[in-house]
Amino acid sequence: MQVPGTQVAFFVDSTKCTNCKTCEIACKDFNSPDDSRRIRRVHSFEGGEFPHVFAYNISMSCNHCEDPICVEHCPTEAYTKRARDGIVVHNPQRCIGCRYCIWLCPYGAPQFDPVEGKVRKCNLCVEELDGGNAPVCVAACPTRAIEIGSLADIASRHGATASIRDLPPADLTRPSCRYKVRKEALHAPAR
Amino acid sequence: MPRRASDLEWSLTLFTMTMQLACGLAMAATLLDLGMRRSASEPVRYLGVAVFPLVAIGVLLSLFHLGHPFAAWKSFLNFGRSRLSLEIVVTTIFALSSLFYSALWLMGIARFRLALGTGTVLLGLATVLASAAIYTVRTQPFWNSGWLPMSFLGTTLLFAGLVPTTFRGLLPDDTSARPFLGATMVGGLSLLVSAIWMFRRFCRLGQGRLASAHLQGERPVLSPWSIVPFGFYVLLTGILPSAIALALWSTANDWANLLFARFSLPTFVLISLGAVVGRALTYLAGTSLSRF
Repeated sequence: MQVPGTQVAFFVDSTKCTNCKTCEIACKDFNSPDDSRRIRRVHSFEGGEFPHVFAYNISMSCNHCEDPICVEHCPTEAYTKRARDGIVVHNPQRCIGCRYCIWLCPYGAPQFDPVEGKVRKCNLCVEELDGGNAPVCVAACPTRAIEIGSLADIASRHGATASIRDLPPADLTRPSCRYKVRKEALHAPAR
Repeated sequence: MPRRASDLEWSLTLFTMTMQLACGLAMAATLLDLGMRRSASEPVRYLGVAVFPLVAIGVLLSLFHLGHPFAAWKSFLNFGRSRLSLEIVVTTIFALSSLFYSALWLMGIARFRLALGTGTVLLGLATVLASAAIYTVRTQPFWNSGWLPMSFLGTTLLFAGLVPTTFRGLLPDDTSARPFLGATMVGGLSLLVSAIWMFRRFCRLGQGRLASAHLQGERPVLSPWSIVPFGFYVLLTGILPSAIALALWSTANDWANLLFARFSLPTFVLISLGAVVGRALTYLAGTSLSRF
């Protein structure tokens, strides 16, 4: 059972993101250099009608949801939500490659590698974090668009939201990550 | 054409179809056993014996879906929370029950056969529903609807009715075909309704910009207009033949018998093929629409 108020979360400031994909490459280099998985991905979205057009980028990996459906439904209990910080950790030793989590996750966080026959996802670089270091994506971002902190702090920041136009509804799994996006990309008032 | 052939999930398509066929066979064998007051004919014996091999083939096929098939036993670990674990437990019990049921038929033992057959049918239906429950989860917008369990149960009922009417040696007389023709028709109607329901949902969900982008490669086979050929296919193969047969059976004559003898097997093959293709497209649409 997670201790209330201890949830660790990413904060992604989309207004600073230039889609350089350094976070994606750093994550891949650290976690899965030899396979096809992209645990962190930068998605680009466009919208509006001429002349009022807009575009924005969202760097996304696992949202370490408060109500993680992968933890609930993984048949081998390969997923656990850590009690002390709410990080959703995947244990590849337990994974049998059934890919049910891939069907379930609305954010496409779990990635399957056919060669290894297993799924991997963002563990928020727990080894680095436990050693007092920042996750590699946070450390690598040249514009400091990705930060990490407690959800309570991050959610209270100006403009922080999980309800974004092109993202799945936040009430499905209650994602912990918060994003700052331009106002046209907002789906609902900031939570 | 689909971007990724793996999205069609062939092993799971064949697994779900095989389990529904096995449940349908158990249903038909038990009903025929009941109707013949346990003095079942030799062809019905083959039907009863075939249940377990089908379940075993289905379970083996499902293992091809896994990245590590030899670690499949671990999937029992989250029983009580995970719907996938629940399905695997129920399928295992169904497999054990069908093993004993088929063994009774093989050894020609009539004692307990009817009771075990009834239990096997109930477990088969529980397996079909547990399979449907895997897909009806809140984060899967396309599958999370009543059309999916309706489609699974409709296919089961269709097979239960179709097998005895196709292989007419199973029936003791022509009049006993009526309930099975009725089951085929109800199964076919359920499939038609679930297909229309599915395409309505597909049209609604497919309008989103992300969904539209993900469905680019699938558009040739999956579009709102696909319901027309699919609906006609279900109507022509699953409903009309059994409806005509049911209407003619009351005035059974040589001409009607000859007609059914000629067309029942091709109809069975066409229905089975259509059901497999429909199921594969269900996987394709579900995985495409939920992809982020």
